[in-house]
Amino acid sequence: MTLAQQLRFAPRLMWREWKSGEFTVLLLALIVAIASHTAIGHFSDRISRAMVTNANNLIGGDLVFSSSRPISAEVRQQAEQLGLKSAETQRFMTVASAGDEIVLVSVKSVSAEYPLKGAVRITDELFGPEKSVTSGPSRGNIWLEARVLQTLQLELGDKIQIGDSTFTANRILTYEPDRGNNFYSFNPRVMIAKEDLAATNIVQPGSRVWYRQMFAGNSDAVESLSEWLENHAEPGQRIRNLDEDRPAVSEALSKAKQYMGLASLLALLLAAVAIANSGRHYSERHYDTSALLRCLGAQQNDILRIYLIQLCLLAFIGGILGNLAGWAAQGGLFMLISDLLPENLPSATLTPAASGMALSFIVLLGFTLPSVLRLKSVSPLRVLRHDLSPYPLSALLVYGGAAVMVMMLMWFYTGNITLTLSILIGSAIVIIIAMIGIRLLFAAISWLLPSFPLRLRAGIRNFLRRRREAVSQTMAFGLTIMAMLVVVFLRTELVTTWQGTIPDDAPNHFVLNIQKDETADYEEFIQSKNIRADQLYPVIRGRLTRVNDKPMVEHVSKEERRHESLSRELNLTWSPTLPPDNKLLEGEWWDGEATSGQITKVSVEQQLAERLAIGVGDRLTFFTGDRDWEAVVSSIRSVKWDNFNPNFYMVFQPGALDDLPTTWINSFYLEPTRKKQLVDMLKQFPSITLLEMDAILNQVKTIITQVTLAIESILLFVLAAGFVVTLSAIQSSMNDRLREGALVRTLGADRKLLKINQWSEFAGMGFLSGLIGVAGAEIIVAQLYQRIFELSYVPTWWAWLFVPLFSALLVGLAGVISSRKILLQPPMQSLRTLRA
Amino acid sequence: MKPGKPNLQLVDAENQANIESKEAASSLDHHRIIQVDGVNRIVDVAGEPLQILHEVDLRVSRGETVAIVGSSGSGKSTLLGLLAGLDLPSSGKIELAGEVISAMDEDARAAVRASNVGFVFQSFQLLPNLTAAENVALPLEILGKGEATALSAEILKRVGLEERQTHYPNQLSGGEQQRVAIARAFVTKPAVLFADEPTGNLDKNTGDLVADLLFELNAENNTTLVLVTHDSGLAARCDRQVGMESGRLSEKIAS
Ligand SMILES: Nc1ncnc2c1ncn2[C@@H]1O[C@H](COP(=O)(O)OP(=O)(O)O)[C@@H](O)[C@H]1O
Ligand SMILES: [Mg+2]
Repeated sequence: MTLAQQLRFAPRLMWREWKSGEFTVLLLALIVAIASHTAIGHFSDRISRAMVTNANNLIGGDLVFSSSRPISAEVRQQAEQLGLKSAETQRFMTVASAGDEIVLVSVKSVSAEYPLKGAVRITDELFGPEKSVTSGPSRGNIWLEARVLQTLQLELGDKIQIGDSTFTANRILTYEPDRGNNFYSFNPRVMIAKEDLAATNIVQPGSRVWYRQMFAGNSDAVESLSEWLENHAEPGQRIRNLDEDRPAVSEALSKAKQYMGLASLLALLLAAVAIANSGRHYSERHYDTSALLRCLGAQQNDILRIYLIQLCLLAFIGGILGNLAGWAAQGGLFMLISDLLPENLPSATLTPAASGMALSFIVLLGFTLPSVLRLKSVSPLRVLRHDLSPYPLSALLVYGGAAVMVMMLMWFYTGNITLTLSILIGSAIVIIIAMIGIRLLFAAISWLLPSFPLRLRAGIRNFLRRRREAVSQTMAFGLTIMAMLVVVFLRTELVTTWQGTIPDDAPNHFVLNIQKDETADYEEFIQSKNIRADQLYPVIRGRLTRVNDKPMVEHVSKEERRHESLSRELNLTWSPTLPPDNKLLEGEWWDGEATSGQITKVSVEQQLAERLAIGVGDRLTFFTGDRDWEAVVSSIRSVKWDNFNPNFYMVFQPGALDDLPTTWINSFYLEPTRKKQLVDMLKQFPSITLLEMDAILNQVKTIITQVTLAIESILLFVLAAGFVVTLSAIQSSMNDRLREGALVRTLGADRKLLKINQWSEFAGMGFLSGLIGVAGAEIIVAQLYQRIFELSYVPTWWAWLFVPLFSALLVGLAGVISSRKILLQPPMQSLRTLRA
Repeated sequence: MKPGKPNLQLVDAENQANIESKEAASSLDHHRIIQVDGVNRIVDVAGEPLQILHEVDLRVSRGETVAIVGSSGSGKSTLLGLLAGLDLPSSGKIELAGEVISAMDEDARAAVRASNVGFVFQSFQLLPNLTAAENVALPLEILGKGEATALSAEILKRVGLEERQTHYPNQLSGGEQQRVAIARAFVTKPAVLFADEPTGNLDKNTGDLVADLLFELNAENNTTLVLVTHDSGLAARCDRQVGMESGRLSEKIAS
């Protein structure tokens, strides 16, 4: 046959067999594999781009370069050359005045391009509805935080003086995308246009200004700019990107990505098991066809090419259908969670679709080629002597080949060699132990056979006789259950960890600068309005200067000197009790107040203590205002930084710091519908600083919800893959079972007996698979927890009993249902259709 | 499609002289379509050599019908497989349609089969996923013939199954299946038809009907027929009978 003839003949032959359902399971497995790959590919690609965008909004760009000196034009040119958009801001402290009133404000002047990412939110009246805008104020106008108006006793539209210029206060500023989560920036913020800056005459050589240049654009360009900046940055200049700035978010993101990669990998591997299974089945069913074709004059290469063409066709169809299914699935997922997503969701890229297509060929050819190659070597003499089967392939070739394939797939998928090895080693251990276990069990069962009840013996004998088949089926079910358990275990762990991060009533307001004589009134106010508030913490500003009388510069290494706790004033507090969410790691908490004459005790946060090499018993010297004072470390404590409560590096024993300048801070939760009550609060306590945290909280919550949903949706694919494995495993032994069932029935067995046999066979297999699955899952999850997710692992004991029983029931049911044909079909018909 | 070059290495040196000496004689005889000289077939059974065929010689002329008769296990199917080039003899020479197939590799033999040979088997050997018409069209498609559908419809009509074209093998009775197989065998108008116990799986009446059809078509197409059977009635309908006993062939006188 010429290639052209083969190209015509192969699809025709395929189409004919197609109609009789020969390809159904194979195609189904392929579709599940490709659909899960592409759906998860699109989904995680789009979601993570959306999440990165979201998160980048928090720093105001894809990359931020900050400096204490004006940023040279060269930097902007470089960004322009790379095709990046950029915007700049300058921030400084100054005094704003109106009439006789003055207030210290933090001024930010922004260029026309500002903001590059996200939006500025403003209102037209105090605590009125917010609106988002993507520009700063126009020339001559100033946007300011509500408390500036309060302090200066102004209304919107009034004039306000900054330096030599006068501005019109025309909007209230509620949210700046690049503000970050620096909760302790005390001074109220105002925003003006960059063009107005010079005229104020405030920024002079030597004045303290923070310059920021933000960049956004294509990620490769961002990457190269980042490199360029790193080589050109001078002291006092800093490059910030997402990972650095929002460790909590980027950690959640990377864990989610790892998880999704893992889950889709498992779905893919399960589907691959199904593909290999039904590929073998398919090729075994085609020994006769090949022999006949050879007998009719087809050559070995004809046969090979015909089946290769068929496989490629199938891979193509599977790739297309899988892509369509994957596309639909991700569309459905996005629809489900559309409320949570930003409006301008990044559109899908072609990458997952293309890789899905390639994967279809790789998986199908990789896992079926060894068995299909055998079709080429079927002897034409088989038409005369049915027992002539092609030589079995070397086990090394088959299993070795599959192992290499799997390893490459995993690596390609996760890009993570640790993950790949943990799963591979885990699976290998499981497979080896399970193989040995099953063999031993078989030996035990056949030894015990005479002592089984007579009615059960036939079923058990069947099971024993189909030993090879039974082993591979048990392994297939076992691996399926293992994969599903891994996915479920990890999901539960991750989701509970994340959701615990921010409770629904996490404080969404911070109040700073409460004066000592206001604390009683403030507490009364909170109580009268029935607001859920945390305790009030006193705050003293102080700098850590010496450890055991040694200046910090000498005490710590060079890198650690840059730690913010040294370069900045710290917020210090005192408390009679250990703050909630803190854990005592070393030393003891104090009892009661410090007595005079005794040195004050302090409890230090663990990470800081580690970095600064501070231990219990060390003497610390602090500097506040105009004097030094001392404390001795009495305990080390861990702090949950992300609980949205006030948290402190240093907590002191009460009583000793009373004479230092102190203000109080508080945090509370207030429903968004009760926002107006904040006006009353500000009226009664005009000097306090009120920070609204809703925007940041919501952003973090949204991210967590997105991630969780993404993760749960992936379970569906793993389930679907498990389903095709079951189908393919049962399918491959179906003919044998039908023939056998028919024979046994002709020999006089009643259906009830057959049913008992089927149940005992399938349920036994299910129980064994369940055990294998639990054992494997525990091993793999334990490794993953330690090596990848850095979580501590607790074995799930309930699973050891529950899963095998459940799987016995399930596999039993699936088996009995799918082999009910044996019972329903008259034995004559079974024997006839199965003839030769 | 070109026949492969004869692969002389497959034949041992002693035989080769033998082949060459007889070559001249065989090519003179244009009527001869099958010529078997001194064929032995030895297989390995559990490490022990087992001789299935002993020094078999056979000549068949074009258009002739020959029956190979013998009891079960005597080696008839083995010989048929060798004649059709499905397997190679351990020694000896087999010529089919002017080609020394015993010296050809597997693919070259397949090419000879494709253009010269048709088969009918005891167990029908229809592909279960193909309809009757598709089964019949199969050899034409392997040959790359264009009008496969029309030809197969025509011949199915000839065997009386025009109503059953779209039926699958398991929807047909044994006799009907064998008629489809016969249609498939004749659709390429082969020079030789090999039939291995074509009525062996059928009851007497059906078997007779199928045999009638086989001989009719054979006569219409002037095909050479080599038929293996242990049914003496069927054998008697052939021009010539040869007997097979424990792997040895003996010419029989027609009865
Ligand atoms: N490849 C082989 N391996 C082992 N034994 C074989 C082989 N081919 C044929 N035989 C044996 O040779 C004998 C003849 O077989 P066969 O030609 O099928 O007989 P027949 O068709 O006359 O019934 C049988 O006993 C068969 O088992
Ligand atoms: Mg035979």
